[in-house]
Amino acid sequence: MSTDYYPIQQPEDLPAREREDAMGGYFMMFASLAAGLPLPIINLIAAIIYYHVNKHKSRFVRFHSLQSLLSQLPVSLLNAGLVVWAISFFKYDFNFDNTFLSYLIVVILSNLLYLGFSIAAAIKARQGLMYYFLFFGKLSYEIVYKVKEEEEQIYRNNPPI
Amino acid sequence: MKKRLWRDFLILLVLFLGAWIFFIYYPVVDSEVVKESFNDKEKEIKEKLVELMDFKQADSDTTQLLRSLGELKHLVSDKDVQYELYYSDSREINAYALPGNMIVLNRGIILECDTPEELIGVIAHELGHLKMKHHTDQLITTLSIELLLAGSGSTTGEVTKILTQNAFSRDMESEADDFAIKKMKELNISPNYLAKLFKKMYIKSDMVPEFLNSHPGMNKRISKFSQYPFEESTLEFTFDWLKVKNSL
Ligand SMILES: [Zn+2]
Repeated sequence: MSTDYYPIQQPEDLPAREREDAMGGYFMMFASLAAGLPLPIINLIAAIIYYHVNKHKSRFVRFHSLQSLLSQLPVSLLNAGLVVWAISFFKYDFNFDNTFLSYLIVVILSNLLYLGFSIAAAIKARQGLMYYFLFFGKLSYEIVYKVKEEEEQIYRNNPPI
Repeated sequence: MKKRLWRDFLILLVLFLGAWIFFIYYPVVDSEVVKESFNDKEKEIKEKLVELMDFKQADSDTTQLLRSLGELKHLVSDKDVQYELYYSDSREINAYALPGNMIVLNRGIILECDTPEELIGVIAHELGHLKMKHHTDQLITTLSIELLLAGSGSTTGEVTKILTQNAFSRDMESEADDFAIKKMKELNISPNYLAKLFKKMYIKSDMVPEFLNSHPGMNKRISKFSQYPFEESTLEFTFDWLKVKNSL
């Protein structure tokens, strides 16, 4: 198993265009929010499309779009959970209790945290900097920067030294 | 690296569950308080609506009509639904159920009923909508469509439309009809009474196209109620229905 990683690009090596593409991933949700699409699933689809459009660009762009996509997954799940819970609550007269209220608070906090960290990451990306979220940062780094075995085989011819 | 990924994942999970459990025991606001304010809000909206539409609540002792409507309301009861019955001075031949467990009878439909039994059928049908929570279904469907389609700006428009047009689906109407049949049987009233009323309304339907729009498949519904043989009801009322109608 290889533990090699591709080098991380430094800000001076990153053209403005790439920095903007990297920032774009985090701003997808603002765009969909502004378009009046508060359904979590639509933000998610937008993020997936954005990642696929950008995945052939530089690793820097890929890293940031993947991080925004992955970190959105649990938030979307929590939001969907809230919608389902609220609906069943209306429909079956579930008790509006502290368990639900607490979940609601945690979901709101998660969304705020996600929003705050996304803005921070977008600003860093614009400056050509890496920004690692807890867990999702490492995971995206692993996926994007790790040298994969099959990719290594492409470089079988090496210089004489 | 793998180990650190797992560690981070566990940290996130613990943070989430920890926060959830924390707020269960130390809620910022207690759910009872929130519930209370929801109920207050609902009550307030209801009072505003009643005032705005000039609904008169049955059961109040002011007029012969309201007294007799109150009597009918006591007959048509359900252990799961505490509803309020209102009279509206509108000549439209219609009755409707509103969120917040309100049933409204228009002057038009009361005048159309030759017997109180027919009106009992109408109330039972509307009570069926309330019991099956059709408003919630309708609201959820509309809100989901709204959310999918476009902005939050037009939501209020749609919600008002549901409240006023009362456009339930065919299935919902059928469920409410079944409930009405069940209730009428419990009271020893032949469901055929409602068939009679529907027939009269059908003839006049060119006058009230909205009602047919919101209650599709009128022919089917009439035959459903006509299956039951007509038997004169033996219910006794303290009022004279003709006199009540003449007072309108
Ligand atoms: Zn109906």
